[in-house]
Amino acid sequence: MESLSRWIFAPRDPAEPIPFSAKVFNVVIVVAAVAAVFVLAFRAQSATLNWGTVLEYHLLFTTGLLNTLILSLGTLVLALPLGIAGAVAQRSRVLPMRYAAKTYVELIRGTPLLAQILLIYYVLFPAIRLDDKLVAGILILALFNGAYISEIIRGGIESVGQTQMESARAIGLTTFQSYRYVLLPQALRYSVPSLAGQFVSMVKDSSLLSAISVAELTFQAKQASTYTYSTFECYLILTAGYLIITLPLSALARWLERSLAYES
Amino acid sequence: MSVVIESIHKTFGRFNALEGIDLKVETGELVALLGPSGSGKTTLLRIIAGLEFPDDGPGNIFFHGTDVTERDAYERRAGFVFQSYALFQHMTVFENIAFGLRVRSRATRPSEAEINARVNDLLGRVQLTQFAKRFPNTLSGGQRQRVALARALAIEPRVLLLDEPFGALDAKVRKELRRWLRAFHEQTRLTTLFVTHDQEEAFEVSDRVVILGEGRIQQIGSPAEVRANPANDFVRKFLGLDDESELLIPSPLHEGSRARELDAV
Repeated sequence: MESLSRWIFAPRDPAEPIPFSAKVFNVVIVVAAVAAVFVLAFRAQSATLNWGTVLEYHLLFTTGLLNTLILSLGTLVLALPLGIAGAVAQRSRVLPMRYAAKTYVELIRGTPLLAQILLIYYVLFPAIRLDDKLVAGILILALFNGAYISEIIRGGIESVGQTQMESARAIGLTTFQSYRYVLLPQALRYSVPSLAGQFVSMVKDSSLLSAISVAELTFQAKQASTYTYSTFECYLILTAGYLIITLPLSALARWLERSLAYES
Repeated sequence: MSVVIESIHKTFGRFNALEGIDLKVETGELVALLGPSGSGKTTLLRIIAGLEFPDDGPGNIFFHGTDVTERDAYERRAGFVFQSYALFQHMTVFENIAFGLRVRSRATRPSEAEINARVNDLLGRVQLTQFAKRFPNTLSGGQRQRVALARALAIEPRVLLLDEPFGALDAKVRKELRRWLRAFHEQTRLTTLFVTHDQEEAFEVSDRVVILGEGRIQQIGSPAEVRANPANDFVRKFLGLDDESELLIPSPLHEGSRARELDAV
């Protein structure tokens, strides 16, 4: 009885680690249950999976995965600084900056990404003669995610507390230095869990770029399914493709969260 | 360095926190701002530090004759110790103290060796040498308080401002730190203002006591003067003198040292 409960219950002391074998056991059971549901569902429709033709188009999927990866990394690199700038600007004493940042956040958060993609790609970018789809995709996603990230960072800064800013000023730090060395390092730590969620969403949101036929994973999977008529197979590969990117991202976030926790 | 405050007003919304404060603190003085909560004492201290700004109008603040009214806190070089300490959680004790020096522009920044020497000296003075590599979260309240003090002193402030410095500490540590502060002040003669609502603390430590109430200065004087001649009903009530009972205010710790100074003159 005792030995069985070890597989099912976490230790009473929350600080005590869960045994590795118990972790594996539980994850396997959950994954098996989900797989079983899908297998049964396919059976019920008496659909059979036909991988042969789909796999002939493996190049479509690998380029799609690669492009989604490039889109995600590019967006990450641009959206984080944009978000930080947006958060700082929203707190600025310079009112034009503050209201520009607030308007940006409200416009982006209040409208669907698909509408932004279409409007920016077909109205704004032709005006500046930008026609590289991947670059266009990265810029649009960065703009979109920057707004959400700026709200996350702003929340982080506000939870750091006013006296941290004041004590920085009191020992002679300028406003820029106070943000750079005191507020932002602490705010980013507080924000890691929410930022991780946002980055995961960002990877998935890149699928909407298929609307402007950027050759990312979703677009490629759709292509493959029109060539092969094997829609289920293509979407199963697509699902796996996103998980290949998002699962390591979540693991990285958890590791960051642990390693950045304050010593106490 | 002397601090001169002229005709400072401060309102928060419709609440008058300060209604015309005039005060002169001489170089090397240790002055207590004493008053009940809501009397405006912390607001006054924060205005001196440049963390808060007085209402527009005739008010001015001078540091040793220089008008600093419009200067932000980071330009005033006033060491400020917060009631909540406000240590940088993400830095070690050593880095907390060193940081005000490290961020200076190349022209005014001491060398690495000088910074190390100064921080180590301060760590010794606040008796925290063995805690240099610890993070603030791992320290007790009294230890954090002393880190906060060392951090404020590291930038060689022109004036030291302490907001309820011993407020959050237990009685024994309060007493110890109080004595320590007085002894420290005897050594450095750094112009110091500290805010307290505890009259025992104010009378024991300071050269002069400024009693604030309802946004105005009710009385300024040495502990002995205030004790002997309360200026008005407010002071009498605040000090608990209105029932004409025996006063139980301790005699200042530094009476002896002041006598010695006078002897030397």
